[in-house]
Amino acid sequence: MLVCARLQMAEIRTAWIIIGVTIFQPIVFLLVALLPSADRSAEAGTRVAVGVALSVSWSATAWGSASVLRRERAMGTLARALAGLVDARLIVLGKGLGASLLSTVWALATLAVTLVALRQPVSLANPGWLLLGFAVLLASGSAVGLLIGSVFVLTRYGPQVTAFLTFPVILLGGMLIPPEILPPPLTWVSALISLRWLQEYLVTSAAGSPNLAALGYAVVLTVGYAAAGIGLFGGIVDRSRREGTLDLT
Amino acid sequence: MTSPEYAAERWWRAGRIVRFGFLQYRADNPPRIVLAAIWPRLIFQTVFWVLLGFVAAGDEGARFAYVGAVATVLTLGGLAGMSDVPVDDKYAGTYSRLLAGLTPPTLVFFGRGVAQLAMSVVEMLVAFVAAGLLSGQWRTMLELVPLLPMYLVIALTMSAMGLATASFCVGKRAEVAIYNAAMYLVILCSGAFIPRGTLPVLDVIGSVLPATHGLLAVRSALADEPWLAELSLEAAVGAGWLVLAFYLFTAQTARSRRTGSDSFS
Repeated sequence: MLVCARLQMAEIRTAWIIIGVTIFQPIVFLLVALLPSADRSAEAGTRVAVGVALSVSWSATAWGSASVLRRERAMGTLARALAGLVDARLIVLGKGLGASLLSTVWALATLAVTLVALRQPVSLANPGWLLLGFAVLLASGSAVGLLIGSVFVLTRYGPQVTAFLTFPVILLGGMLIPPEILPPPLTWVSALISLRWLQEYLVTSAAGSPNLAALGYAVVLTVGYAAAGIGLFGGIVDRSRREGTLDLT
Repeated sequence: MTSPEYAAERWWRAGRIVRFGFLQYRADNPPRIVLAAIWPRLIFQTVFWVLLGFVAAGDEGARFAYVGAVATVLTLGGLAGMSDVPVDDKYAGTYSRLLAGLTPPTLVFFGRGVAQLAMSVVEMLVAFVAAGLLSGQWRTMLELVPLLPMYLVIALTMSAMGLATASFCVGKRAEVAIYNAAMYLVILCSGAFIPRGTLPVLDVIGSVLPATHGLLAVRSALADEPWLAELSLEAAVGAGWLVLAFYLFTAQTARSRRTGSDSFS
């Protein structure tokens, strides 16, 4: 799995989409969320910075996992990866982890530079707790990557589907838009997105009093995503192999 | 061939090229994908920007963001979609045939771009109505209805910039970065979400980008102020990008013919 993660990081570094997602997007989101706002306190800055980091991490995960299988398809190795001796889920999980890790680090670096350039104060009270939060973020991203990977085995229109998935999660995930302002049925959807809980955990950790219950929710949801991803991906790959439709969809 | 026959054939060719653009769009984005993925994405995206405006600056911020977000919907078809027009030839390996064809490649790309322009307008109208209703901006939406022709001017300038940036995409395997950069630049610097005067450097860059002057015209019209000068500037910016696109494609075609490279690389 780790070999796949390293391979994916090497592949991503040559793909231009990573620049769009991890450099342009954090700068634009940060400026659009911060500049028109009257509140430029350290607290508001931290909330927005964490929100942007999580939103970007989500986009990068969605596009990263999407590009994993798209590249396999383009290079003609999809069928081999899915029909090989090593379980394909390990390959996709590893590649998803590589994509999440690299893009999160790049996005955080971009955010740090932009915040310094804007002279926007942020609080960083508990680096250890923050790191723990980001570790859960990576795990969550890899697990979701498996779910998105399933879509790419099913349809050739994966990029469009990924593009569709990006904004609803950013909108409903409570990262930049507080869940309280959403209509009631949508707050339930929001509660099923691990990023909503990670946002709460990371903001409270940065302020010095980590909300461990929120972290717990995020971990439980991540385990749920992983279980669903393992089941769904396995099922879809089995079906594709049975019907001989790999590389044909 | 006599001259009227030649002209008739040129019109026929132009019609086929434009039609092919639509067929190409439909092959890349079949109706079920448009309905299930592309339109919902644009609606969610617009609602997101409106709510972000609300979080940053209350009701006024939401209204400001809605007016701008409608124009930024055009970046998908006008900038990202337009870059596919020449890039598709690169991946299909058909550029050399365009070079040998009777119609110059520049005109082929312009003609095929018509479909992207038309679809960007449709996408904008869908997001305009759906996101206006979903985000509670229906009053602003109704006020904007008579101003939709101004958004049409923005659609034209956006596609003109799209053609110019598309010319950089071929031969570099960097189209995703190029159109993403163009899209984010427009979102950031056009005054769609960040009011002019907030950060001077954004205003300077924005002054040559599509949507900047058009949105100023729309906002002036909403406030019952003169808007014609800004709308004329928007048209001028679009004309500038179109001339640049024409020059870049023509120069690349000439270079490809001279050097024998078949994908502008």
